[in-house]
Amino acid sequence: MHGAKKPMLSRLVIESFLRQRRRKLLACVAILLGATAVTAMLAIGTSVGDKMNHELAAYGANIVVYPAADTLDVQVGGIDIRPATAGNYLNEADLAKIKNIFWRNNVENISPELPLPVSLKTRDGVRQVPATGYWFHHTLRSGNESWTMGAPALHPWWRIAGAWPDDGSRDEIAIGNELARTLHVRVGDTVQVNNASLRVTGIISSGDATDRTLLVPLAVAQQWLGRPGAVRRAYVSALTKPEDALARKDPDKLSPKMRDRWYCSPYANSIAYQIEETLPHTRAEQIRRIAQGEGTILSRISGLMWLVALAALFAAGLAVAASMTTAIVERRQEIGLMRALGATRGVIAALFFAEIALLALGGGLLGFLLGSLLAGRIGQEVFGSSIAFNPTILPATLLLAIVVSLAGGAPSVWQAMRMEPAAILREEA
Amino acid sequence: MTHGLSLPLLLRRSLFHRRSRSLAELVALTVSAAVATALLTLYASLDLKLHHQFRAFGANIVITSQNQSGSTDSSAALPADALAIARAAAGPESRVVPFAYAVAEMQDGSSIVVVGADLNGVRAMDSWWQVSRWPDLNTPSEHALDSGGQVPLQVLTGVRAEKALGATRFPLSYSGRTVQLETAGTLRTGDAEDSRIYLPLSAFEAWTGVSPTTLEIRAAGNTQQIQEVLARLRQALPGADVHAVHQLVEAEANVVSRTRSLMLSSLLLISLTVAICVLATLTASVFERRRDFAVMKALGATQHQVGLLFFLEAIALALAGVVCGYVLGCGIAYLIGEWNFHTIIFPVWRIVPQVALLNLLVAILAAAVPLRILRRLEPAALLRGD
Amino acid sequence: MSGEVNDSEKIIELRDATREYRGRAGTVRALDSITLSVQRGEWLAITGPSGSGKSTLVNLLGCLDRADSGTVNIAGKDVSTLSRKELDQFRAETVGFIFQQFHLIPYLTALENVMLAQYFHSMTDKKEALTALERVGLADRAAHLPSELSGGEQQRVCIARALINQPPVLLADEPTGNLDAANQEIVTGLLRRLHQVGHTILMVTHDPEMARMADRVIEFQHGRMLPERKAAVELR
Repeated sequence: MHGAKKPMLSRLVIESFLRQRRRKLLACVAILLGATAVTAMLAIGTSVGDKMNHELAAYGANIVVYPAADTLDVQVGGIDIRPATAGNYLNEADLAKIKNIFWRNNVENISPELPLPVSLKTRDGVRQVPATGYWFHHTLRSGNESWTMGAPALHPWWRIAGAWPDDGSRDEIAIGNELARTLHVRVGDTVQVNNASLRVTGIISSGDATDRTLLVPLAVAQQWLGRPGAVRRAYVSALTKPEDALARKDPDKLSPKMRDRWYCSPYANSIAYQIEETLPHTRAEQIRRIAQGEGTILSRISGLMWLVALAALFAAGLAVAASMTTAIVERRQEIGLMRALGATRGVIAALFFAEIALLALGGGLLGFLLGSLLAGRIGQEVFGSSIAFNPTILPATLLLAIVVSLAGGAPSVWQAMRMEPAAILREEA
Repeated sequence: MTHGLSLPLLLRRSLFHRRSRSLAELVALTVSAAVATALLTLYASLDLKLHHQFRAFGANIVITSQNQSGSTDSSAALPADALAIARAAAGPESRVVPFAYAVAEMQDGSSIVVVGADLNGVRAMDSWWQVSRWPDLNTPSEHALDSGGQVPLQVLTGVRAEKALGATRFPLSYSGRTVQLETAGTLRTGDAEDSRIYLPLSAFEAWTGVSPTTLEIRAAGNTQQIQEVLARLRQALPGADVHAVHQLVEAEANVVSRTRSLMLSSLLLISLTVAICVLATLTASVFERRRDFAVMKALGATQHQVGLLFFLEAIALALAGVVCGYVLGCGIAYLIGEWNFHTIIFPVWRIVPQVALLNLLVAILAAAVPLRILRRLEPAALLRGD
Repeated sequence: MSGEVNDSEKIIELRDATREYRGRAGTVRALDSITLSVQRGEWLAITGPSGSGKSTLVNLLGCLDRADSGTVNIAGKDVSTLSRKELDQFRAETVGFIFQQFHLIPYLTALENVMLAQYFHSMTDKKEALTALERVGLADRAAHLPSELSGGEQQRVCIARALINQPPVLLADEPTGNLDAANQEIVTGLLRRLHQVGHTILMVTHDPEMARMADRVIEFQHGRMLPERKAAVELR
């Protein structure tokens, strides 16, 4: 008896699942759409932090590296007026080591600077002007890998008319637009700096002190200074996790376990710490203006997106529950019929819930795929980079689909079962 | 019972009699309006709220004296009334903080940058400054200067400067005038500030005789408003160099526009989901009442009349949903503002037509599907007995 | 419909009416070339087992469906020539329905249910509706909702509603199928009185006792009419 009932039940489930497709269509669409919305919103919610982080990371370095035993910066209005020979220097060759630290993949850009005053020949005679040596599109190699790094990528708001000087050239120079204006210099002109003739490849407008300086390849600045390989400081742009309570802790005072957690979190502080470990006799400091501001903004935007995801979840739950109710109401007659044929409430509940679960599973799976696609598409549209396929959302989506569908269907199934079979049958035509 | 039978009466009876069903429909349409209201309100206030968050990055406009081209000397002072003019031009929402710079000499003869600033303003504007203790601004600094070094002047010392100085009390000289300073607290920013010493502007001026050369301004509002402030400042201070901090303004515009796009796609996605909810509820409603509609057909009602009755019901509920949903949605937006942005998000009246339109659209589209089912129903089959 | 009252006038005339349903299992001929006429003032009972074509006939006569072939003439109009909209209006004017399950709109009072028929027909007239309820003995129940009425009372409201537009044809589908003996008695009495004052009644019924009250009984089987039996008039 018991053995005979089971295949019958499974056959009932399969039959009723395959038949009456119109009545199930709405529930299917609701589950599908709900799962799609939830998946897309969860994918966006989980990745919006990273994406926005990328956006903000593009707007400036968050770590500065300088020699430990350096003299004080004498920087006013963005221009270093410390005598070029004073203080210590970093070694340019060492900078590649930054790409060896634990969080090397989070290091997006390294931009060394070597400021020095130079004498510029003008119509009215020789004048002292500030100049800075940069990498422009320098190829940094470490092991088998190589990256292109330099100042333009670190300062995306710098606009250039013309082209950036070639890093390897000895006779190319870019010039700040204010300085260019007062000197009446145009792209392609030649300027005399420190008794060398350099061709102006581009004119920079930055909106900051750079507009009043000369920009030369790092090697040229080193040559003028007479210190090959010297770098005054290096700015590092790294993808970091917004600062939290742990991030502010001093790692040397943490318990070994907490220290590991601190070390293995991509905080600006821990990346700076790792840079100091890798480059002896240097200081690496997080630039608090960037790090702090980023933290707040990122948490606000992620918070907002999570709340919106929550709204999507709620809407999806409501939609699935409503369509489940509708589907069951439409099939009340079936329940009455089964009851009249002597099916116990348990069997009917099992039948309906099995069917709902099956529906939710299918809809959830398909919805997950669609939602992932949609999230990718939105990511492409909004950020210009796709949101990665995130399989960890799948269990959450499926679980939600099943739980919400069962919860949505349960009251109607219950209600239908409580009614007298005869009443249902008479009511339905 | 003095009334005849009319469409409004039919509607009223139908809506109020089937209370639980109407309530379910109302809930669905309220949720739809509430979600639209909350998201549209957020969307409308997003600009301001996000730009408000960007104040954490500090000044977005910098005014310096018109620099003598290419010279390294950036200490040319601004006109004496520049601060007042800038404050007036920037508006009450904006914060203006003056800075004056001087390069002083330490005991060993090396240089150090000393900055006189409105420290209260700095404290409010540059929230990322990590300061162990702010100098007590109430002590009369002139007294410290006049006392001939008996009472040292309280200053804020950058961490690198502190290391270079090696003591909390130290003398500094500028143009041959030496004063005693004492570190009241240390400052860490990770940037050039770490190598400097900050002291109240009045004391700085009394000591060095240098007036402010830079005004840093945090202008409130979105990109366009900042551009307007910029234009006003340029007009008010023709002799000065007024420029936006591109780095910040661009990052801000970028992040805000991306967040807006995300919000908009979310709004569409959620609206679609809610529409399905409404569709399901209305379908159930038609299904439960299919016999009523069949009776009306049997009594000679046209497809039109039956459809109109159902449509009007959906529209009435949609409008009621707009009222309830608007209130609810404003509440949700308010709560989100409170939790996420720590500010109040006020109801936005101008989105009411949009919410109403969206809700009506959802209701009408959702009602169209069950109406098709209704059209296909065979009244005779429904009305016949077993 | 205030036409000339003529005993020999044919109020309903079906000629070779055929209706087929196309399903997955093939075509089912629900009505197979039915030719049938009903005189004005006649009481006709239609019997037959389920699936014999009774429902389809009711659909055709109630103008809820159209024949695939043949003609259906009701009150002198060929129904197949009418447009959808004309059909709706024609139905409101010509046919009064009495249902087995009464089918009152649950949220309207007895009076309003009656007025609903007026509403879809032309204009509501409360006085007339009240009179109709009075005629079925329910004047005091006018303000009650269907849920507050007994089965018999609901059926009487249904009859009042069917009569309100003075349709030439009353279509009663198992009018007593859901009623107890006492109420059955009341409703039967009502129908008999209506017949006496000259209403044309088409009644579908399983109950041989009910069928016996009709002037004529026709029986359906497999979509066809069986040869007519002698009916009540002679028995009476």
